[in-house]
Amino acid sequence: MAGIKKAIVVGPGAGGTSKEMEIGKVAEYIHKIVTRREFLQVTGAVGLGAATFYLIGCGGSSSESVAPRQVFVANAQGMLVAEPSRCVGCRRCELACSEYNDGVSKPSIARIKVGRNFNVGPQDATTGFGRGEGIWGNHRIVQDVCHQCPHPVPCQLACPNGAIEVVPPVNARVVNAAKCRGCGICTKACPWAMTSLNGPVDGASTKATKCSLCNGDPECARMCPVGALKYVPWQNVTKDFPPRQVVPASIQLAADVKDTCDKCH
Amino acid sequence: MGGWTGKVLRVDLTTGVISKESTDKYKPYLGGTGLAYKVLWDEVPPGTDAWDPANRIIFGVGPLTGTGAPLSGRVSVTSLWPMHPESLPATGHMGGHWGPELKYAGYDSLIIQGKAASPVWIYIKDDVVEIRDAGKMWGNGIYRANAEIMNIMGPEAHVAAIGQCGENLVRGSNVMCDRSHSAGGVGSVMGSKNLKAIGIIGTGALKVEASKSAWKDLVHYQHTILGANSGGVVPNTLQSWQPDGYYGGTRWTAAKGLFWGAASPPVETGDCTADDLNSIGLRTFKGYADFGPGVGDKHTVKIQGCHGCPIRCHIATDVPALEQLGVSRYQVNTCNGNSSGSGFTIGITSRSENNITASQYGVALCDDFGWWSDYGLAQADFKWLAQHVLTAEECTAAGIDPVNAGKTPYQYRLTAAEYAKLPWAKFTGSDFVGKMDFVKAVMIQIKDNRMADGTPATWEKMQAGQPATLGAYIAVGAGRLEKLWPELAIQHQENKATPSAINYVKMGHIKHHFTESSDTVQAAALLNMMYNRDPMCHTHTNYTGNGLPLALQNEIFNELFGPFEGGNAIDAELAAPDFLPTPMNKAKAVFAKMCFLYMELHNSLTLCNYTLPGWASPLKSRNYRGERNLEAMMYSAVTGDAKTAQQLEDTGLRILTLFRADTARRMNEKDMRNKHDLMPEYAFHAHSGAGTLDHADWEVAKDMFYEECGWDKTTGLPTQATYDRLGLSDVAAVMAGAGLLP
Amino acid sequence: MEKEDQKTDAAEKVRLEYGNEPSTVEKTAEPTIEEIQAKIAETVRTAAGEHSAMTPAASVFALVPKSRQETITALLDEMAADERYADIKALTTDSGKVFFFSTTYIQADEAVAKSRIEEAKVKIAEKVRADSQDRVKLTPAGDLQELIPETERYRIAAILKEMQENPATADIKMVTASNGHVFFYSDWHMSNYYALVLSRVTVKDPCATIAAMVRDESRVYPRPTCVQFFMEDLFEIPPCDLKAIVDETLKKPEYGDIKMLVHPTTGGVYLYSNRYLKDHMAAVLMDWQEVGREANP
Repeated sequence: MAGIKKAIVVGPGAGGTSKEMEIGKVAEYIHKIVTRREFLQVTGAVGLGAATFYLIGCGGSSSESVAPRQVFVANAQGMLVAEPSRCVGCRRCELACSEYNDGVSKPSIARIKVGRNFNVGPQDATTGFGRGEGIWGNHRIVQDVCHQCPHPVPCQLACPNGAIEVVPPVNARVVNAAKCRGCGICTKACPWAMTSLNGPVDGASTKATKCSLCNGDPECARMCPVGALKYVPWQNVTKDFPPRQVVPASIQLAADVKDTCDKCH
Repeated sequence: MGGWTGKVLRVDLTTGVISKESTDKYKPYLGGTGLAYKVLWDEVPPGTDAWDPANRIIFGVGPLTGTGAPLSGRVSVTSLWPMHPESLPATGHMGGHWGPELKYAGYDSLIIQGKAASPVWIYIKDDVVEIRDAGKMWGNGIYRANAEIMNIMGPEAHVAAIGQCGENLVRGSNVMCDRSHSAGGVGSVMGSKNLKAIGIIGTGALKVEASKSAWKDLVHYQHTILGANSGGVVPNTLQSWQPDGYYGGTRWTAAKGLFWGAASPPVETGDCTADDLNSIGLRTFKGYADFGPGVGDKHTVKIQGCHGCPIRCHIATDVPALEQLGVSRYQVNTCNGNSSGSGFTIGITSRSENNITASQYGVALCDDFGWWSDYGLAQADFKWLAQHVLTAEECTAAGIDPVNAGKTPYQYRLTAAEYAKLPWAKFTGSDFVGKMDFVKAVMIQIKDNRMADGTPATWEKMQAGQPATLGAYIAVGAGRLEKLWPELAIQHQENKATPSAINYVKMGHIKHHFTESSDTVQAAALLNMMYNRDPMCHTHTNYTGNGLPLALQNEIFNELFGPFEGGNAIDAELAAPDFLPTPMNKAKAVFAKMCFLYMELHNSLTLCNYTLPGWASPLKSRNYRGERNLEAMMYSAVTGDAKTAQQLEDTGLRILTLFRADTARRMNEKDMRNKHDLMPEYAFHAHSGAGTLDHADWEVAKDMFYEECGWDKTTGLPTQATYDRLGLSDVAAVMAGAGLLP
Repeated sequence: MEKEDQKTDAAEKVRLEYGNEPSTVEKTAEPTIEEIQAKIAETVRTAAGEHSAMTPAASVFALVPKSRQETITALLDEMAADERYADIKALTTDSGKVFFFSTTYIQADEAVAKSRIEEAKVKIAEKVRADSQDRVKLTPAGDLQELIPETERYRIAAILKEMQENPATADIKMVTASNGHVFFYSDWHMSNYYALVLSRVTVKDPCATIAAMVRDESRVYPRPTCVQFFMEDLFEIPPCDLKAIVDETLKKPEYGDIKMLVHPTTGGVYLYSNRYLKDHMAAVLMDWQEVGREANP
C-alpha cells in the first residue's frame, strides 16, 4: 500500500476533527478480506463515522495510486422528461429498456423506474396508505428518469473503477460493462437511486445498469403508448427533484478529486 | 427455452411443504388455464368439493407473461368452482401486475393445496418462499392486506388477496390484485384454505430467445396491428383521419376536445390516428364511454390497467363526493366491476353524477370485501326478489301457499326480523345517501354471510330450513338459491325486462356475450354451453365489434380461415318474425372453434382476451387485415419453440379437450351433449333484441362444433383418435376406464 | 387447411425470422453525397421533363438525410460548380419561395412564369392541407382562386390537374357538392368520405344530409342511426332545430325510404333506410345500441 500517504478518518458529527490513523492499521484494514458490502455496512450503518479513503480500485490490491477521476465532464446533449399525469402504469418503458438493451425482460434493472412508484408513489407506504400517490392513492404514477447530472456526477465519481463514462456525442453517463465490477457503490451514490445491479453485489458477472439514453433515441420514449416520455435538450434539473435516498457519507469526493475542483472553482 | 422460468412453485398449506418442480410436463399446455387443467386432472379426484383441502387453486401464468409481448400481464386462477352446484372446474382471470411479478420471482405458476391450520399468507421474494401468519390480517379487507404486506415487504410488492367475502366462504367472492383486478369466483377457495394473501417481489429476468433487434421489430409490428379495447379498429365517432370514414360501435372513443378531466392538468385524448403508436393508450376512453359525457370525462384521472398492455381499460376516477360517504375520492375499476355495488340500487339515472358516485362507492366496498357478483347475476336476482310481486299461480308453481300472493319473494322467504334488518325505505326512496346506506347494509350482510342465529351460513343449514340473513342468500349463489326458492326460476328463465337484460343460463351461472349478439347467435350459444361458469370469452365480440362493416368482417374471416361453402360466419340479418339466424354452417362452426381455441390460448400464454384476437387491424395499408399469426409469432420468438398459428391452435384444442375430459369425468357423465351442453328454454323463444335458437338448428350446431373439435357427436366427448392426435392418450385411458370413451 | 409440409415450411420460416438469427430487417446504408446529388438532379429533371414542373425547395431538402441537413448549402454549391449538373438551376420568387428546375426542359424565361404558377401551387397545397388538418374544413374553390396570379386564374383547372399528376401534390383532391359547388381537401389529412360528408353540409340542406348519412349507415355496417348523431358539430344543425328537420325529412317523398324508430323504454330516436335495413333488424340493432351494449359490458 505504498501509494497511501495518509488516511483521513473523520469522526462522527459534522466538522469532526480529523485524526491521522497509523498507516499500519489503515493498511491492515484495507487488506482485510472484507467484501465491499461489508465495507458499506460497516462504514454506513454502524456509526463508526464516515471513513474516507482514496478510492484506489477494487480488492485493494493495487500498490499504485491511480490518476484522479475526471471531475469535469461535458453535459449530456439530451435527457428524458417524464409526465406523470399521462403515465398509465403499463411499464412498457421498463420492458423496452431491459429487453432492447439487455435482451431479457427484467424490470428490476430497467434504467427508467416506474414499478417502484406504482403502488403508493415515491413515498414509503408508511406515510399513509391510500393518501398518497400511486394506484392506491391519487393515481399519480411518477416515472423516475436519470437526470444525466452535470459535473460532479455522483455515480461517476463514486465508482471505484471509473466504470461510468461520458460517451460522446450524446454524452450520457454510461456504464462501461468491461470496467464494472458489480460492487453496487453507484446504487448508493445516486441521490435518486437510478442505477441498479443485474446480479448480487460483487457477483462474478454482476454489472450495473444505468440510463444511456440509447445513443440519443431512447427506447422507452419510443415505446410509451401515451407519449408520457419525451427526449429533450438537456438542462440541469437536479435541484427540481427531491432525492429518493440519503447518500451515505462514506461515499464522498476523495481529497484529490476535491483538489481538481479547486483548479476551476 | 425462453419465456418459461423452468420452475413451478407448489405450496402445501397442510404440511407446510414448499416445493419447486420442473415446468417441463406442463409446457405442452403452455401455462395459465392449460397448466391448471392438467394439475386438476392429475391431482384432484372427482367428487372433491371446492372447499375440500384436496382442491387446488392454481395461479397460472404462461411463457409470455411478464415479457414485452403486448397484453401479457394476465393470470388465470383455476380451481374447482364454489359457485357451481357440483364443484366443476372453472377459471377466474385477473390482470394487474401480480402475474408478471410471479414470473420475475422465478415461477411459471403457483399451485396451492391443502389447508393451513390457521390464517396464513404466502411471502415470495424471488427464491425465498415462506408461509407466514396472517392472524391479524384475517377478518379485514383486501385494502388492509395490501397495506400490511407492503409494510412488511416494501411498496414494490404486488399482493393478491381475498377480503372477508372469501374468508367467510361467500361463493361469489374473488381474489384481487393491484387494487382493481379481480379473478372472480375463487376467493372462497382461498378462504377455505385459510389463505389470506400472496405477496410477491420478483427481481429476476425472463429470457427472450429472439435476438434483441428481431424482438424489437416484432413487438413494434404487433403494436401496429392493435386497435383499441374490445377489438375496435376504427374510432367510435366519425373522424376526419380514418381513411375510409369508418366509425361506430367501438371503444375507440378518444376525440379532439375530450379530456381526462380529473388529471392534473387534464389530458386531451385527441385524434388518436392509427399510425400514432404513442397514443394507443389514449384511444380507449372508457371512463367517457361508460359514465357518459360531462360525467365520465370530468371524473377520469386516467385509464390504466395491466402490466405490459398499451391499450388500457381500467378507469381511474376522482369523485370528491365520495369523501362525504366515508371512502376515498380516488377509485378504479371497469366494466361490471363498476356496478358490483351500485347494482343494488334503483332509481339512479344512468350517466349521471349520482351514477358515477354510486358506482365508485360500490367499488370502494366491493373491492375491499372481495365480492364477485357473477357478472351482475346477483343484483339482477336481488332486484327481482325484492320487487316482484308473486301471483297466486306463481306461488303454487313454486310450492308456496297461494295465500302469500301479493308478497315479494324476500317478504315471503325471509323471517320478519331478517327482512326488517334492511332499510328498504332507503332502497325505494329518492334520497341518494340513503341508497348508498342501503348498498352498504347489503354488502355487509353478504360479507358476513350469517344465518339468522348469527352462526356462519352454510348450504346444509339452509337446506335444513334454518333461516338465514338476506346477505347469506345472496352469498350462496344463484344456482343453489333457485333450488331453495323455486320461484327464482321465473327470473332465471324468462326475460321479462328488456330483451337484452341479464339472464341466467344453467348450473349456477349467467350468460356472457350470448345470443343478444345478434350476429353470431350459434357461436355465442356454443361458448355459453361449454364452461362451468359464464364463458368469459370475448374473442367473438372483439371481432364482430371491431367497427368494420359486417361484409368486410366476413371477407377477412373467410380469407383467414376459409374458404367456406354454405354461408358466412357472421349474420347481417335475423329472419323475421322469430329472429332466427341463418342456419348453422361450416363457417360458423369454424368461427366458434377459433373463438374457443384463441381464448384458451390467451388464458394459457397469457394474453388479454379483452382486446385480441388481432384478425383485423386499423391499417388501411393492409386493407384492415390484422395478423392471424400474432400469438404464434410471439410464442415462437419468446420461447424459441417455433410454432405456426395452426400448430398453436392445436395446442388450444389440446387444452380445451383436457378441460372437456375433466369436466365429464367429474360429472361421471357420458352424455355430455344432453346433460351438460344445455341451453335455457328462453333462448329458443323469439324476442326482440336477441337472436333465437331453433331446436333443430341447435342440434346441428352441436354436431358441427363437436366435429370441428374431433369429438363424438352422440355424446359430445372427445374420441380416442382425437386424444391420440393431441398427445392425450393417457387421458383417453382414464376416460376409457371410467366408461367415458365413445 | 394447410398440408404438413407447408406447416413445416411455415414453422421454419417463423423460426428463422424470430429465432436466434439476427434481424432480417435490412438497414439501408446512408447515401453518399454523390448519391444525394444524383438523386436531386434526377428528381428535378423528371419533374421538368415529364410534368413540365418546377421542384419546390422542400422537395429537394426532403431528399437529404437528417444527418446531412446542415450541409445542404455546401452540397448544392458543389452541384452548381459541377458540369454534370449545369442544367440544374434555382429560382427565388418575390415571396421568397425557392424552386429548382432543369434548363434542359424548361427555359429560363419560361421558368419565371412557371415559378409564379409553382408558387401558387405551393400556396394552394399549404392552404388546403392546413384547412384539412387544422381546421378540419373543406377549402372552397373560390378561396384558391385568390392564391393564383390574376393573369393565370383562367388556368385554374389546368393548374389543379397538374397538381394531381405530380405525386408531391396528388393529395389535393376535389369534391363537388350536389349543388355544383367545388371544394378541395388533402387526403393526407382528411378521408374522402369525411370530405364527402362535409360537402353535403355545405349545401345547407340538412334533410338531404341526414338522409344521405342514414342511408350510408344502413347500407355499410348495417345499423340504424341515432338522431343525436346529427348534433355533432360537423353537421352544423342547431340542436333546437333538429326535431323539426327530422320531421321534415320524414315527410319528403324523395326520402320515403327513411323510417323512424323510437325505443320503447329509453325513448331513443333512430332513423334507418328500409332500402338496406329491414324493419325488424333496425329494431334489433337499435335495442342493442340503446340498451343491450351497456347491459352486457
